[in-house]
Amino acid sequence: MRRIGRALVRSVRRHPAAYITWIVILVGWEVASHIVPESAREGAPIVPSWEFVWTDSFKAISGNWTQDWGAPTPVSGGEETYRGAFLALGYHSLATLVRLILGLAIGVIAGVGTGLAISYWAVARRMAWPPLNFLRMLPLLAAIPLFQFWLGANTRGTTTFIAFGVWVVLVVGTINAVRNVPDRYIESARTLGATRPRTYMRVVVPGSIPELRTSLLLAAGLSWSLTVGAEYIGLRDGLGSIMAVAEYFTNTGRMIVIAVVVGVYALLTFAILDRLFNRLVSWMPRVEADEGIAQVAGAGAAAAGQAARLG
Amino acid sequence: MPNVTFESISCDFRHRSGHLVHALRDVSLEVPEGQMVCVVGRSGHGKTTLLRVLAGLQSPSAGQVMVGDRRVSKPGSDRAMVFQQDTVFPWMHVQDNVEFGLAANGVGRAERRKIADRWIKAVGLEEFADSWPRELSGGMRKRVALAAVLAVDADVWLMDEPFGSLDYFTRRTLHDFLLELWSTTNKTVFFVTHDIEEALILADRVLLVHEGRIVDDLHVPLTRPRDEDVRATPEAVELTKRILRHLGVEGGRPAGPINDRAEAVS
Repeated sequence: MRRIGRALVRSVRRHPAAYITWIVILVGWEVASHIVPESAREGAPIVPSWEFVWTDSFKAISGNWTQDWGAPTPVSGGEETYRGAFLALGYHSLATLVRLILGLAIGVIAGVGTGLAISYWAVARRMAWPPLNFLRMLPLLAAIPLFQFWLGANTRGTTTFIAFGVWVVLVVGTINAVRNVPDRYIESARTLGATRPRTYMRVVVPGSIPELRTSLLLAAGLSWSLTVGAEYIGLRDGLGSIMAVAEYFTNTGRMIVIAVVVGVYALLTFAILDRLFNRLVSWMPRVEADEGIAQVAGAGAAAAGQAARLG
Repeated sequence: MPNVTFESISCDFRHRSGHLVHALRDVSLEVPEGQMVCVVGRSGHGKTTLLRVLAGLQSPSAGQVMVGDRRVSKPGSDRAMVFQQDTVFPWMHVQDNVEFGLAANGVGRAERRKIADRWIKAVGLEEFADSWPRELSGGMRKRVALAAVLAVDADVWLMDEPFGSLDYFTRRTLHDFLLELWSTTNKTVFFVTHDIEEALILADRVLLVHEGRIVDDLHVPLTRPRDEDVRATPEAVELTKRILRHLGVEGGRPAGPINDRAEAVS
């Protein structure tokens, strides 16, 4: 805990402006919650104050705890408890994370692999490009019902769906990255006697990696949308599904708790991927290791990244 | 070691703007083995194309290039090239960069290591064998590129303004280094430059390229080393003037309007 605290202090010193923004947002929200008119529905304020969100609303999350161990189950008349709320969040986070990590990993590996394979042959690239571009433009969230009809509203179907979305982003990203590898490296390799396959494996592939960073982070963000979206629409567990429950009861505070939890997870995903990626391209001339994270997700992610490394 | 022969080489490009660029027009040339040839000319007049055709990176529209009795049809390590830009692979350590061409030519690990070590030492980078290229200066990276080319033991060294981006001192050091190596190995060198001083320091022979043609072919009879005194002899000054005239500089100033040709190779 103390190490995380120190990391946070360091991060605040490095990106003071970003923390100021966070503070303004949090305080502004609190002020707004006390100004806006009261909601007609009891327990569903239009702008719930933070003290309401992290007490009553958070406790209400325990309504999503349905196992007969660990904490009472409010659905069958039990009491709402913090313990139940944590258990519920943990249970549904686990369901979500399994889908997300599997989907993201499969999608990234398959996407980079497909992109590299297609890029090897100019004809294949030209043939694949138009449909890929179409897929990239397709609003995938709107395709969730179709995918659930095809693959089932379950973990397997959702994971496949996420992997597909990530795959599209990475195929397009990889093809672009390969195309942007400077010719001079390829020509130099060729005049040193490397065959075309060797040049591809040893020069084009590593040369394209730095540019994959953007696609990877884009895919990470997308995978969260797709996971939560798919769960929201058709699944019985996962953070997206308990968001749907909160909406059913118009429980604004609960929605915010879940949104914040998802947000923190997403930042952690960014931070971890960024760190892994930086390790992969340790040879690359650096800008500033922490800059990247700050650009992507603000200083909150920097703090999350520190926590991830220390944790 | 083989002679290099250009037989009626022409090379046309379709420039991005749509019009046809004749980068080389009916160039014939014979270079005996072991000669240090500097190709001099203004930007966009075909110097680099000449080199790229010999490297096999560019197919001529007509004619053929022979190295010995073999026709050039694709790139190969018998004609390794040092480029103007930085071509050291940033994702490989210095050692692996120098070993790259050897590995590509099927040289075994131990042998590869031995050869690379020798050339890394020759270019004075033995302390940096395990460094990433980003940790080196521009001049040091150029030496890595040079070592990689030397390691594959090419018959012909192709150098496309290799030292153009370096400071004067580093450039002069590398000239001496190159000359020393060349004098011990008797390789054929094609060295493209637009720097007359550089050409006079290095060349046995200067080819002047203008509008895709070789317009003059000068023998450089100066003694080596070509220090400031040698380059100030009447003979050297006469050569300089002649080259300047071909470059369109007369009486100390450029004559006529700038008519830089569209850069055919970018």
